Amino acid sequence: MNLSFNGNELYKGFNLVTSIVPSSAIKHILQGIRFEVVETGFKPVCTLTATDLEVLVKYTLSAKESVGNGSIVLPAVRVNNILREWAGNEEVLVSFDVETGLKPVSTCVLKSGKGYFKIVGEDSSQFPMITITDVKSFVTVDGKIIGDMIGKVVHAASTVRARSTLCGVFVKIDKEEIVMAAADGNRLSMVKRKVENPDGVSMSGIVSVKCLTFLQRFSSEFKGILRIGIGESQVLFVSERGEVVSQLIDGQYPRYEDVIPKDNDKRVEVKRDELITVVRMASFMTSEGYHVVKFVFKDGRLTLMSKAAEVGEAELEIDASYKGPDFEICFNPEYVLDALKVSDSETVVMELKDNSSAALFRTGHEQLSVIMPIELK
Amino acid sequence: MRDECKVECIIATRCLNSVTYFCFLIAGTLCYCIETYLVTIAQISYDLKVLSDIITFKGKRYMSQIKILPLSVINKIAAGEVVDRPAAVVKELIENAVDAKSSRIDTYLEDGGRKLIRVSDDGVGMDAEDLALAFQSHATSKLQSADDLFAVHTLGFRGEALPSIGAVSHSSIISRVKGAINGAEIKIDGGVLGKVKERGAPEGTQVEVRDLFFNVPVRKKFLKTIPTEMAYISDVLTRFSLSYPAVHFTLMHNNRTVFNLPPVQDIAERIAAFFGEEMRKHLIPVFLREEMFTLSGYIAPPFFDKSNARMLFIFLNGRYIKDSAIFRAINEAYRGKLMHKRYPIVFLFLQVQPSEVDVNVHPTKIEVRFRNTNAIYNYVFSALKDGLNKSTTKSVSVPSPLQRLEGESVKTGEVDFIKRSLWEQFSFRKEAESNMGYRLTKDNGNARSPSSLPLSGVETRGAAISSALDGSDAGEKVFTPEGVGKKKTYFQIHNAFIIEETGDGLNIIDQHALHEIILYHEIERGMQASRSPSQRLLIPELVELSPKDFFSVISLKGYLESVGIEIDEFGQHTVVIRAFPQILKHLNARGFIEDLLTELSDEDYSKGKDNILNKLINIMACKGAVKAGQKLEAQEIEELLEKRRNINAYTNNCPHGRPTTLRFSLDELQRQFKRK
Repeated sequence: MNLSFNGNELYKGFNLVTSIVPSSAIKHILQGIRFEVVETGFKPVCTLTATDLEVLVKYTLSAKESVGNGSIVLPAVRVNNILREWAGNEEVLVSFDVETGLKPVSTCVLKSGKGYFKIVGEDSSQFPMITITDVKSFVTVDGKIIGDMIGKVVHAASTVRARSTLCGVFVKIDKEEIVMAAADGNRLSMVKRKVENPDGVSMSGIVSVKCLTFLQRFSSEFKGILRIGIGESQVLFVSERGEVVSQLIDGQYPRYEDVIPKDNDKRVEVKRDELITVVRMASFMTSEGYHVVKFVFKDGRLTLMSKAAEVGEAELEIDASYKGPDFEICFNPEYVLDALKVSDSETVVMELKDNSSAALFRTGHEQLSVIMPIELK
Repeated sequence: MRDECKVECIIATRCLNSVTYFCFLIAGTLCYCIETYLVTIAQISYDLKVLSDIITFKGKRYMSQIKILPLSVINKIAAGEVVDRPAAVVKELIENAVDAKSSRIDTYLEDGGRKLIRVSDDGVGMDAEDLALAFQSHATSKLQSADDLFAVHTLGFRGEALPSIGAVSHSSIISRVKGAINGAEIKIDGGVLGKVKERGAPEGTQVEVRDLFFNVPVRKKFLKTIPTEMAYISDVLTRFSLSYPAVHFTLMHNNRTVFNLPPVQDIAERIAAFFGEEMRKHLIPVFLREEMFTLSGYIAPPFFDKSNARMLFIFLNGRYIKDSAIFRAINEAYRGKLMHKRYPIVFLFLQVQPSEVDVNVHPTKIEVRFRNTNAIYNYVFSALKDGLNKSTTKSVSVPSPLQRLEGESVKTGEVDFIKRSLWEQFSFRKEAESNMGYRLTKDNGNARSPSSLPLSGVETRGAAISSALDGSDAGEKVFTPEGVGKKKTYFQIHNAFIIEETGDGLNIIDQHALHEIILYHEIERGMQASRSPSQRLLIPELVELSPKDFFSVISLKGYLESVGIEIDEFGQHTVVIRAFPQILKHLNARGFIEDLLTELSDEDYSKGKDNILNKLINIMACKGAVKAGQKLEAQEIEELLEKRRNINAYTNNCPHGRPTTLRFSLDELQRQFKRK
C-alpha cells in the first residue's frame, strides 16, 4: 500500500513514539514500531504503536493520501533517523507490502525528494499488544493540567528498585479531584487538581514514572482533552491523538495523607525566588557524604548555613515572616530545591514543628511537599 | 640386677618418636639400660635436635640409675639450644660486644661462618681473670643475683653463650681492658679449655670461632649453603644496626666488605641504607610515651607492603623480639589498609621498664613475656593508628613545629577548624607539590631530641585534628600520580571495571572495590568527627525479624545509632527504622538491616565495640557501593575518580583486602609490544 505524509508531522509522531521503545529488549520485535493503516470512511487513519510491555503507546496521524490497508513493524531508531533528515520535506511517501509465505518477508519503502530507502521490516502479527481489560469508566481533564501535575511530583518518586511501590506516582481520583503523590523514603510531593467526573467514580493506582513522563511529553506536544481511566491493573489515558496504556505497579501505596503533618505550629513565609537562590548557593558548600544545609530562623530572618570540613562554609540570609523563638532545622538541600523548582507561586510557606519532625512546604495552589529533616549524630 | 656391661651404641635419630638405634652389645646385652639413658637426655633437653648428634660413649652403666651428665655433654646440649647455626654465634657475640659498650663492632666471616667467625669490638674488654671464667658455664658479668634477673638491662645474662660456642668449635678470645698495658688470650677446643696467656692486643675484645660444629657432624650437615647462612647473618646484623644506630657496624665475608655502617643520628638513615631511599622518604614516624613505656620508631605506609611478616622489626629495650600481641596490634592498626595476605613494614623501638618484662623465656631471648600484655597491645595499636591517620595528610598537617603547636592548642570551635584547614590547604599544597622529599626531611627535623632516643619521633597527639584535615588532597600524589588538573580519559568495561588513562600508563579499576573503600573512609571519618548526617524517614520502615535477629538488632541499637541508623522496638519481633544515614540514601533500609544480620556472625557480637563498629562500617560500605554489573554514566565515573583523589587515604585495596586498582605503566606496555 502507499501512503503520503507531511514530513514534519510524520517525524513528530514517529519520534514521540520512539521514546517509549526500550533501548535493549529481550524480544527483538520490541525495538520496532508497529505501523498500521486502516481505511475508515473517507480518511485513512494511520496508527503508530510502541511498547516495552509495561507501557503501550498508540499514536494516530492522518495520511494525506492512502491506498489499501495493512501493517508492518519497522525498526524504530533507524527509521526515526531517516525521518529526522526528511522532517523539512513537504512530502514523504511510505509504501509497504507483505509477502506471506513460508517465511513472511516484509519490506517498506520510504521515498522523499530524490531518494528512497528500502527497509526490512517484521511481521506485525508478532508485535505484542496490551489489551485493555479492566478500565471501565473515565474522567476528563485538560491534558495540559495533567502534564503540569506530573512535572510537580515526579521528582520525588523513588529510584530504588527495591521500593517498587514508591517508584511510581500514586494517582487518585475521587469526586471532582485528581491527586498525584510521589515519595521516596525521605520526602513527599503532592498536587491536587479538579477533574470532570460525570459518573462520580473513585479510582486510584500507582503509575510508573516512565508512563507519566511520556504522558507529560505527549500532552505538551499534542494539546487537548485527556480521558483517564484506572482499572485494577491498568491505567489508560486517551486523547484524540492517541492513547497510553500502562500496567499499574502492584502493591499498596503508603497512606500519604498520614505523612502530611497537621499540627506544625511554626509558620514561615518566604519569597520563593530568594529561597531557591540561597538554598542553591548554600549547597555549594556541601559534600557528597555531608549534604546538609542548616536553616536558622530568627525573628524576621532566615539564615542558611552549610559547612563541610574539607570544602568550606557558607552563610546566607533572607527575609522571612517568622515570629517566635529561635529555631534550627537541617535539610538535604536537594530535596528543598526539588520542591521549590516545581513551584510557580511567588511565595512559599514552610510549616515546621521541631528539628526532627516532618517539615511541610506549601509551594502553590493545592501543592505541597513534605521533607524529612536531617539529624546530626 | 647389677650387670656390668660395656655398651657402645650409635644413635642416629632426629626425634625420640622415631628412635632408631643400633646397639652393639659387648659382654652382656642391656637394651633397656640404653633406652632409659636416652629418656634421661630427652628430659633434660627439650631441644631434641641434639639427639641427632652421634653420641658415642663407653662406660659402665647400672640399671635404673640416673647419672649426672658429663659437662661436655651438657655444654653440647646447651649449644644445641643457643647455637644452631653461624648466625646464632654472630648474634651472641655481637650481643656481648654491645653489652661491652662498644662503639664499633666488626664482624669477619669465612665460608658463611663455617670456617671462621671473628667479632671484634672496642668495648670495655676483659682482664686475665675474667677471661679464665669466660668459657665457664653460667659465668656472666651481667647478673649479680636472682633479683637482677627481673631487671635485665643487658642483652645477655645467662652466661651460656660462650661455653656453648666453645663446646662445638675451636675458639679463642683476645681482650685488653681499656687502659691496661697487656691483653690476654684464652683458647677452647671443643670444650677443652686452654690456659690464659698474656699477649699484646688492641683495646676491646676479639672473639674468634673456627670450625663451628667440627665435633657435631650431624649439626654440620644441617647447615645450609653459604648464601643462605650469609642471609641469616645479614639479618642478625641488620637487626643490631637498626637497634644501635650509634654503633659502627661492619660485616666482611671472605675479604669482601658486605656492609659498612658508620654511626648515624637517626635510625631512618640506617633504614635507608638497608631498604632504600624510597622507603625512607615515606616513613611515618610514630611516638608514644607512657609511664613505664616508650614507643618510637617508623612505620611504612601501606603501599610498601610485603608478602611475609619478616619486615616487622620490633625491638624491646634494644633486643630484637617477636611477640604475638605486638603483631596483633600491628595488624589491627593496618587493618583495611593492606591487601589480603600482605604484611606491613614497621620499625618499632620499645623501651619498657625491665621489671615489666621477662626476657628469660627462651635461651635465644627472641620471645619475651610482658607483665601487662593488654597495655602493650593498646599502646602499640594506638601509636600506629595515630601515625597512619596522620600520614595520609602528612604534608598538610605537620608542616612545621610552629603550626603544629598551633594545631594542637586550637581545639575550639568547629568554625576555626574549617578556616584553619582551608588556610593550610592553600598554603601548603604548593610546597607539597613542589618538594615532597624536602618535606619529609623537614618532618624529621621537627622531631624532638632525635639524638637522645634511638630515633626521632614526632608527637602523635591530636588525632582529631588530623582526621578533620583528612579531606585535603596534597598528600595523595604518591599513589595517584595523575593528581593535577589535566583532562583524563576513562571508560567502563563489562559494567564492572573502569579503565583510566594516567600520566604514565593506565589503571584498571574495580568499581565496586574502589567505591567501597571510599565509602568506608567517608563513614569512618564521619563517625570520628561525630557528624554522620542521618536522614529521617518519611515513612518509618517496619522490619519483621526472627526472635534471634530481633534481639541482635536491639543489642546493636547503640552502634547503629552512632552510624546514623535510628531503630526502635515495635511490637514483639518488629523493629522500626526511623532514620537512615544520608550516605546510604539510595539503599533500602529494610534490606540493609536484613543484610546486616546475615553478615554479622555470632562471634562478631562478642568481639567488642570497635570490632562491631568496624564490621558495621564495612557492611555499610559494601552495601552502599556500586556493584559490579552496574552501568556507570561518564559523570559517575568521573565523580568516583575525583573522590579517590580527594579522599586522601589508602585506596589501593578495599576493606576486604582485595586490590582496587591494577596499574600498567606505559613503559610496561611498550615493552609488552616490543617497542622497547
